[in-house]
Amino acid sequence: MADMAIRSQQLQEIKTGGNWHVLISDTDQKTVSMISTRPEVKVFGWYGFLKEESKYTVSGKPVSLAGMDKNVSDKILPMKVLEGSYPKEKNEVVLTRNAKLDLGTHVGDTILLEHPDSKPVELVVVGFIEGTSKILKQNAYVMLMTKEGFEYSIPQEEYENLYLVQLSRYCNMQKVITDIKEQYNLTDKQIIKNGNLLAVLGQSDNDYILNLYATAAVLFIIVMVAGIMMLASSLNTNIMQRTEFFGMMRCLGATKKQIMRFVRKEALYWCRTAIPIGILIGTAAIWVLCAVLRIIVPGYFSEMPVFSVSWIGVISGIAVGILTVLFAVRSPSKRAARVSPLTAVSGNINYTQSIRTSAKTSIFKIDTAIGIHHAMSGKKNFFLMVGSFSLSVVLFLCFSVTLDFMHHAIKPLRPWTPDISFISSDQSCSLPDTLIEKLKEYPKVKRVYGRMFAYSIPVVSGSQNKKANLVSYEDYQFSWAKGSLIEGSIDDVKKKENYVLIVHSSDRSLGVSGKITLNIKDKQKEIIVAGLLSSSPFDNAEDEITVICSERAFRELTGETGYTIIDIQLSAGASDSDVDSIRSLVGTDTQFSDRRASNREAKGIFYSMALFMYGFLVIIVLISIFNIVNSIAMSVSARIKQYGAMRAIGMSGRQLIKMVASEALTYSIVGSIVGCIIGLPMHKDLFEKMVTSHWGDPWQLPLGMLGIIVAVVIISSVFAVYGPSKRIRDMSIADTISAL
Amino acid sequence: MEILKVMNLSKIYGKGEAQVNALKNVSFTMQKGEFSAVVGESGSGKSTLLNCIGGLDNPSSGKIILDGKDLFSMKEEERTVFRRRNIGFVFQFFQLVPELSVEQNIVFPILLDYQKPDPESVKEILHVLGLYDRRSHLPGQLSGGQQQRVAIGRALITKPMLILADEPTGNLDSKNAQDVMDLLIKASRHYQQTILMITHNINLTTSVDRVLRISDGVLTDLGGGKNEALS
Repeated sequence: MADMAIRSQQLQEIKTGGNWHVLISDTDQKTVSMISTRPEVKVFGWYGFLKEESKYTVSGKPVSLAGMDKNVSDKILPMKVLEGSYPKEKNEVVLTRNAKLDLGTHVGDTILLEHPDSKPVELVVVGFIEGTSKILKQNAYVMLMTKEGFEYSIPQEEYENLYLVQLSRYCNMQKVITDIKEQYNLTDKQIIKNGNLLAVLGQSDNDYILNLYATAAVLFIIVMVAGIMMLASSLNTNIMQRTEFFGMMRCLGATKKQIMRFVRKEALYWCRTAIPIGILIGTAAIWVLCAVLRIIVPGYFSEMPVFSVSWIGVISGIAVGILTVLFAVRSPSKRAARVSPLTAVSGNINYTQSIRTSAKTSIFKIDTAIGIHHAMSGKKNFFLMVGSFSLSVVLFLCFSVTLDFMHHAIKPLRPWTPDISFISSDQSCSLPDTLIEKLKEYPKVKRVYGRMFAYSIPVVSGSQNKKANLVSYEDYQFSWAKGSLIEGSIDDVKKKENYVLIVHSSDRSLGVSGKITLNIKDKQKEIIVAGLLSSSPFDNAEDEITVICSERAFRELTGETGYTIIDIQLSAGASDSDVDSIRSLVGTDTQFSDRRASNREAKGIFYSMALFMYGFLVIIVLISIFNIVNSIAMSVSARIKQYGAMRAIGMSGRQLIKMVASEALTYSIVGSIVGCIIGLPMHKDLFEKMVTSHWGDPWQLPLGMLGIIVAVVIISSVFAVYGPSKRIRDMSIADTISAL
Repeated sequence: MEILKVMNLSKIYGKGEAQVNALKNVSFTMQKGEFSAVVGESGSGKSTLLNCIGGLDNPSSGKIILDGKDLFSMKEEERTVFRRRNIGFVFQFFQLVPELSVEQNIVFPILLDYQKPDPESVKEILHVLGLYDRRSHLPGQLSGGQQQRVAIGRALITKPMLILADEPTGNLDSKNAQDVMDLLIKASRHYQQTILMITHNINLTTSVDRVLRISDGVLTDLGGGKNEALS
């Protein structure tokens, strides 16, 4: 899954940023020619970009203009053409989609590229391209033309000549880049790396990929440890059932080393079937997960491979399978080698030799007492079983903290995330309040809500002078804020004009019932803190506090009636033309931000993280289930003759099943308790480090997660009895007790 | 008083050419307090007969009536409970529960009924068996003879209608074997216990009331009364 994620990231990076590894600027043509002929250079292309201080406009609106040669447009920065075609002639251009409405242009239209110091240049719009989420969010326009067109339209002093280089995948890119720098005496400013793409290609000194693979490696080890404990327990039981056989082998002359090799080879023989099955199931599972991601977030995960095979995953799977077996078989093979040749004569060493205490029949009923005793009599086995269960509980609890972190950290997916926003051009309360009512009536608008902002208001809190950003909330936003309320009440803020909410800050000097004096337009106004929020959608400087009040309170405090921002959430199926209509309704004299693409990206990140986290939790759960089912089956198998004798004496089938269930539940209950004793402090520690320190949420007992894992462990114990109970029911008592 | 009545008991294993008639129309009765031995060579059907009488194996045909109750007209669970309360077993390999002490093993059938054993009865049996001082020991800490005595105690504790002993001395040395036989005889005489014992050791039959021979599934009465075929 890590491999698939990396591949997807690579494709996504190429899609958003282009398929270039190095950008060279501010150098002469000779150096450029020599670099382009290097054997490691796969694609080399020219890219012209207007300097920032350029004042080019189209219809009075500033525009970013870029030119590229064919190599760049075909192989390095291919842009998806939504309408029309890519420019071929020097007077042809393509625009990003958002320019269509804003500039009111269509394919075939002629536009004028204007500059205050030069003649306007006539250009023909031949197409519209998909912009990146960043471009759309910032409502910037990009115009692309051919190299010839750029050189024709723009004076040389207005633009930068940039050269984009795509290196071969099989070279050490860092080394090549360093070599180019040294050979041609280029500075860091002249040669810029595409850090994001290099990182996802594993060619960066950046930590991202290394962290991802390191994380995968750590998880690999954890899963392997759990698997080793589980297998070792099973192998132990398996060996103990066959001590007579090993005694016979020793009788016939097998050395201890030969016995150990025998046991090891037997265990490795299982790998012949188990590993291919595991690889097939794992590959199929990855296909399903990749398909799920593509369905859930098609925009972001469109490049996710669906029927691809991760060779790293396959090799790792084979390695973990073999390593797990090799580690797990060490102790059981030594045990088998220690079996005395006399057991060939005396029969299987059974559990009598290791039993030191009797079952507690005075405390429990006979069947329960024997079941508990079966679980606890073999110290090593008990340790392994309890250890593997408690490891599952610990891992589950610790990993659940990352879910809390993820829910806090990925803001755009909060319920208040808008699809599109209209923002006052000068950040004042200039958007008329009547606009909201108009927008509500639009059919594709699901929700519309506004906020009023007053920035950097001087405040006095206690004896401290600070600055505050005052923000208004309406009903939707107040209801969403309840989820992050740490202390106090939101109702007072909604009802009373001088009550406010503040957002948790690291210094924690202000709390509920605290008083703040605002200095607005030279008037002092005292407000009371009614509630404390762990977070808000707004960022502010360290010495600033965010103060949230009702719209009525804001109007009362500031005298303003309009909005600074109006956010809109669209209904499902809202198209680009719906967005264009809404923009027409609002007008083009406000800033417009289209967050749909960036929301999709954030959703993509969220879902891939969630899939990873939940996927790992599912693996932990599956290991627990397999562990208990396997262990109980092995335990019943080992004691089947004893069960036959008990049936003969008069133990009913139901009592036998109760006995087996008691054994299973002993493992799972003790394992859960030990897991909680170790896992809960670890959960608390991780939660405080990852969540409380950032957002202030106090640690609470993770009853939900705890409930899930403990329920899984216990329910799987109950189900583990099903197979053995069937075996016991079908058992022929006569055959069992007469067998030696 | 007739305790056991076996009527036309047959047991067939396998099919076709592999078919084996382990028991062929066996019929006999046992009276209360009778100590009978069934002798026969290996593969003659002794254990099959015992397993059927004990309700451990379903006969192919015939009936087994124990104290007026048809054993195989009961459902499996009902038969298990009946066996627990009315039939005692003594196996060749003792088959004690390794996790239970001597005392717990002896009262095992009572514990299976979720009842509390009578401490006086338990004490008496422990003394009779000579195991009072070892009552807290585990089976792994006992000799073979001691383990078999525990098994006999377990068989006796519920004062069952019938005790079935399958080669009870087969795994013991001669001294222990004699001790075990003495216990069984004492149980039969002193407690009026009805005992059916399987053995391949003819020497053990000198102390019993009646000897039955089984050969190729056919049961023959060798005495006390007359030498008659019981199949």
